[in-house]
Amino acid sequence: MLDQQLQQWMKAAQAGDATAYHQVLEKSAQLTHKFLIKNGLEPIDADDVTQEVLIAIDKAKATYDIRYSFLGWMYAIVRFKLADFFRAKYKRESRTSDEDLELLIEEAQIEDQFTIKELREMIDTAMNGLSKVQKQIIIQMKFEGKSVKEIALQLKMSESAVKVSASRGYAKLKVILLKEHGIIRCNLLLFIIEYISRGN
Amino acid sequence: MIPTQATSLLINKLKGDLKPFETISEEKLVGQWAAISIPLLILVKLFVNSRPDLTEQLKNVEFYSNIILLSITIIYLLKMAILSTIPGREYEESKALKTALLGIGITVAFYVILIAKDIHLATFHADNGIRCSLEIMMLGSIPLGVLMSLIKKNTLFRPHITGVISAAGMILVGTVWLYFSCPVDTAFHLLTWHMGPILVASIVGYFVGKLVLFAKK
Repeated sequence: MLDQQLQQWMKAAQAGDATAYHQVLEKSAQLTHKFLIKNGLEPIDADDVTQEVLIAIDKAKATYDIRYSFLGWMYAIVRFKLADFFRAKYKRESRTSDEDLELLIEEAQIEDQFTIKELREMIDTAMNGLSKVQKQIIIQMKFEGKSVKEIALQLKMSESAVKVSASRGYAKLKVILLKEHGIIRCNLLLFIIEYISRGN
Repeated sequence: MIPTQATSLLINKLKGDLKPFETISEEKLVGQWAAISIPLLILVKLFVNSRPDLTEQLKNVEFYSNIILLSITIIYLLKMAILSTIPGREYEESKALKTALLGIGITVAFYVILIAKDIHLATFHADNGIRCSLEIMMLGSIPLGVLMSLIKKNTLFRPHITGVISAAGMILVGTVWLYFSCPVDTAFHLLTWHMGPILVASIVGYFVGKLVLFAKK
């Protein structure tokens, strides 16, 4: 039933119907997010992968053939993106040397024509859009390498409250970066934050 | 679940960029590949000498059966290469590997039996051989280039696998084409100089596939 509905929307999208395409993407986002959470991803990571999937769906939309199941096509993309996520996660975790960070900074400068100082300033400016608590938690968690337990003790909050606040703060940070800098640079800045975080 | 604000923004952006688009079906791709490759191969063949015994061979059932068998394999590999770029339609890796191993096994067994039956077939013809391999590579690179340019627009989640299958299938086109110009039918010659390039191309395809398929579109 759902599959048929999605097929119909996709057919309309092929003719340029933006509303139908919106339905396809929204439903795909919901199903993907649910699938990723079921597969053990944290909500923050599930959001990231969901967005990757949506971009992949958009890029690959011409390969979808209306004669076949939409869900089969979509979940194949989700599985590949999930595998990519785990591969990248493993790579990041095994790369912690300062040389690698310098290389990343170098790449970022070439790619984006900005120095790492300027990129860091962009992150700081975006952080000002967060609440005081959210900002404090993200700085301690991502840049200072503190554990949830340590932050909870310091801020006199429960661990789950710290996790929720971090998750919401990070999501808000993404929205700010996306609005101010566009998808590509937003992803680069988030990647830098994650890289620094993994290095701690 | 309600998408996060970042996801909603992304959805709106993608929706805003939508333009009418056509489906790239595998039939369409096969058709486009054939429409471009076959005339090019015929054109190239006009400049290559035919084997002296071609008229005789055209009356030979074994000659036809070899070509038909190889052509079926080409079509199968072509389909596999295309499907490997369509999410949800790709062959399972284990199935593809088993099929490839089975194909190699049958080919080798076929030639070993031929050699065992008649030992004089075990002649290398090294001089002609190198020329044959180079011609196969040259002829095969035409349909391979066409296929690569067609499928690189698709989704490439497993470029290594796509690279191997495409290279093997398309170099096999060169092998079939060479049947019309190389007069040496000894088993060793065919196995080494005609089939060898397929193995080499498959290995190269595995490593180079990703570079070629991800090169700027």
